[in-house]
Amino acid sequence: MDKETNEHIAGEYVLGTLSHEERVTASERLKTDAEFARLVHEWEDRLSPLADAGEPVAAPLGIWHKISNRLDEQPPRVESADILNINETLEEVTHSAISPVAQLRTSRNRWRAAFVGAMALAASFIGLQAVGIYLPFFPKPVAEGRFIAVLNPSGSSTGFVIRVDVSSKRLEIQRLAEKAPSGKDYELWVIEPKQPPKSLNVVGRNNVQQVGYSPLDDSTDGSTPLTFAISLEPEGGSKTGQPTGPIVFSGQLISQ
Amino acid sequence: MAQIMTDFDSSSSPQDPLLRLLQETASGERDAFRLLYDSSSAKLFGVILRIVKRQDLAEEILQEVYLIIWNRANSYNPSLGRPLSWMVTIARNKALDSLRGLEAKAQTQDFDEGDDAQIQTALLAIRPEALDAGDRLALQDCLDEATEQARESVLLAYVHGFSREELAKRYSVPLSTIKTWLRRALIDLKNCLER
Repeated sequence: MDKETNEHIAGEYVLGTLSHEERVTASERLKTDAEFARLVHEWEDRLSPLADAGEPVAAPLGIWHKISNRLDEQPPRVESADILNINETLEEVTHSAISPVAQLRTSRNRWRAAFVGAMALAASFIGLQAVGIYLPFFPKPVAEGRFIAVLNPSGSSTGFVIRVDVSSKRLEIQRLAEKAPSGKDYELWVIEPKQPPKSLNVVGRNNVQQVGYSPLDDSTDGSTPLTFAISLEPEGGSKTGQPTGPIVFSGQLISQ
Repeated sequence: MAQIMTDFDSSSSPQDPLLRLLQETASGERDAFRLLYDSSSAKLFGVILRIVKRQDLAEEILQEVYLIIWNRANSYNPSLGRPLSWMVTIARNKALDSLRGLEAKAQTQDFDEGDDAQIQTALLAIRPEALDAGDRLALQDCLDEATEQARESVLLAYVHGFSREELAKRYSVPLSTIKTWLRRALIDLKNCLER
């Protein structure tokens, strides 16, 4: 579709005049076509003052209770944190290794460029909520304490939770995702800035396991982001010392 | 991380109380979400009601919209617009999805167009004095430059959920003419706003 047509469809999508069928098609495109989504967003911006045209209308009193009840029935909020919090190092490392994830990342890169760092921040919050932990904002520098990273899959549910206890130099990894397919193993990697991924061993079949690990000092004040990633490797782990299979989960370490 | 925080804060208005409420909602705070609802539901309900023009349906959609807001609050960031604009966009999309879906199901061009007198009042309600910020004035100027029919079509579609068929009926012109009008109106509006 040429640019002019896309622009027109985006405009009518926001205006609201697309037919049902056209609207459904456009909604689907919004999920996969970053350029189209950008055009739609521009039209939303342009026309949004019109939303002030009409008067507010008080909603009936009972509505809040209905919403509140429906929230109670909802499963705990789990968002697809996607892979927005994967850092550039990981991107380079895994670029050739994985197809679906890399594709998804490519389509999102354009967005990320526009969204500055806020999205990455939001993404790390999402991860936290997935395990029901509330973190107000990033804390002041701390030299010791417990740190956590939640590794989300590129799909929608939480994959692994990692807890790092600086004082005891232990890392605990808890698997929430399905076990690795037979003949394969999950392998945990830590990616420090400007360094190749470092293996922290194969993740066993147990739900929880511990390994010795101590994060970089300046990662504890948030100034050096540490990324953890899990790749799917042949049974027993990567033979090369570097990830050879797809990165299936990743996330950053943040203070707990 | 400090840099990220700065970006996050500086790109939004610190005065906007909805921003704080939305951030707290993103952290799973139900009290904040309740306040967010109290501060914005009348606005959103008005937007939805004008589009679907049915009280029961509007109430249903309002509930769904707030569930979406709850679930997506953590994906909000200031580059997506002001918190209220972001919520209005969700409300409009949900209302339009529902309205167009129902129209398609009913397979009728005769969907209730709403009370014409009410629509006229609403059209009159879009006055320059109601539009304070610079971008609103710009949009108002550009709409004023458009032909009367183009201007009205845009407002009827955006605010009242008019379909192309409903617009064709209102102006007694073929559907193809409406399509041309809308295309032209959008191009003119964009060019005018970019000047």
